[in-house]
Amino acid sequence: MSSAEIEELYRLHARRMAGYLMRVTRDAELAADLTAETFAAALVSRERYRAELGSPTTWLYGIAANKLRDWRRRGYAEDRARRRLGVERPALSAEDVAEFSRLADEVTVVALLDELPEEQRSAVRARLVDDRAYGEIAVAEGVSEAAVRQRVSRGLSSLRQRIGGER
Amino acid sequence: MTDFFGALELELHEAAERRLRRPVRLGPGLGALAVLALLASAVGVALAIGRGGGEGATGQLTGAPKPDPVGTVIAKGEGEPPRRARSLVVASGRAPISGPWQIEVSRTKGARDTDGRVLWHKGYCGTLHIIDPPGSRHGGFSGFCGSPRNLGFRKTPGFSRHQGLTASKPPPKEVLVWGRVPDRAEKVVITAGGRTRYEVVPTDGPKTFPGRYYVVPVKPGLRKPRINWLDAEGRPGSRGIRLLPPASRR
Repeated sequence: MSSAEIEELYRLHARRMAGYLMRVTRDAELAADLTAETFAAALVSRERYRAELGSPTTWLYGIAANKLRDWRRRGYAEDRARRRLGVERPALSAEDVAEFSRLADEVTVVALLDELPEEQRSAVRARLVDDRAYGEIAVAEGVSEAAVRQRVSRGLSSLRQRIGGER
Repeated sequence: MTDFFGALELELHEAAERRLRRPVRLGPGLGALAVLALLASAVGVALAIGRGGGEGATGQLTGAPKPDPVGTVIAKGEGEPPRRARSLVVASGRAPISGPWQIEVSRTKGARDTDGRVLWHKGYCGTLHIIDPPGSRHGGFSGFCGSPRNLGFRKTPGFSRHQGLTASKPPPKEVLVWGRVPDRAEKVVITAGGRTRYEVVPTDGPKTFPGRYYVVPVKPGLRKPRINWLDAEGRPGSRGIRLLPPASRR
């Protein structure tokens, strides 16, 4: 993935990402740190992206989930990628803080559904939106019912985490 | 929109550029990165321009780069950074710390995001180029395009305000507030804190793109600064527009 593609990801997803991180952390400064670190890490590791493993958005949110996990474990937001790149995290104005809060309110399950891996997304959509039975989905997808249940479970767990709940 | 996302985008853009420049290989991505920094401000964000805390006034050095005269056309792919579209210089000048600058306009076809929402409309982009910012290895810029919130160049037959700063590593030394004013504007005035006052006379654009344009260099961290334009009788032309950090205090 090129730098230009990372910047394209930034342009398309930075605000939603910030809203998601704000929703989880409830702290604008922390959400700003994590947003900056997530995109810096994406820039640093852009050559490791593999399209066959998922969409760029899924990859990006995977990075963000790792940063959140590190934050929960250590109690502070990591800044390794930012330091490596020499990227300063811009200071937040009062307007920025209000914007982060607004963005957090905009984050919805439907919006986040698109950012799940394809298998989880279709399983969650089929089960919860289309209200189809697990067995029926399994037949349609050509996998076992247990596999469908696992995909729905993992998808919901991921959504729950992204929307601000705990696993 | 606020300036956090624009400023962070510029940080990432510069980081990517540094990494690209290391092996002396400037691919087409650089142009895309440059235009992204411009387009990030399509909805009116203020962009931090330039890097480094250099004290020198580049524009005062003998042989310093000069801005292009008003009316100059810069072809697509020419200039530094290479222009993404044919650009027309509509104003140029020199700021005490930031050095030579020029405002350019170019056409945009507009853009939508992956959900089909309009990011900015078909119309014009305005860009302020800092040609040789102090303490920076490459020129800085700040810009905006036609936007859904009427902040864009397309919708500014009247009054617009954007801002960028040079020597942006803390503390910033100078903020350039710039934009367009109505034809009947005689002055552009920034007031702050009861005593502070900046005044400039806007300049006419070229005949091929008429309008009046201004750049006001100010110290960052002003107390409750507002910008307005005055007509020939000294009457304020609008309610004025509040300036954002770093021109104002946070």
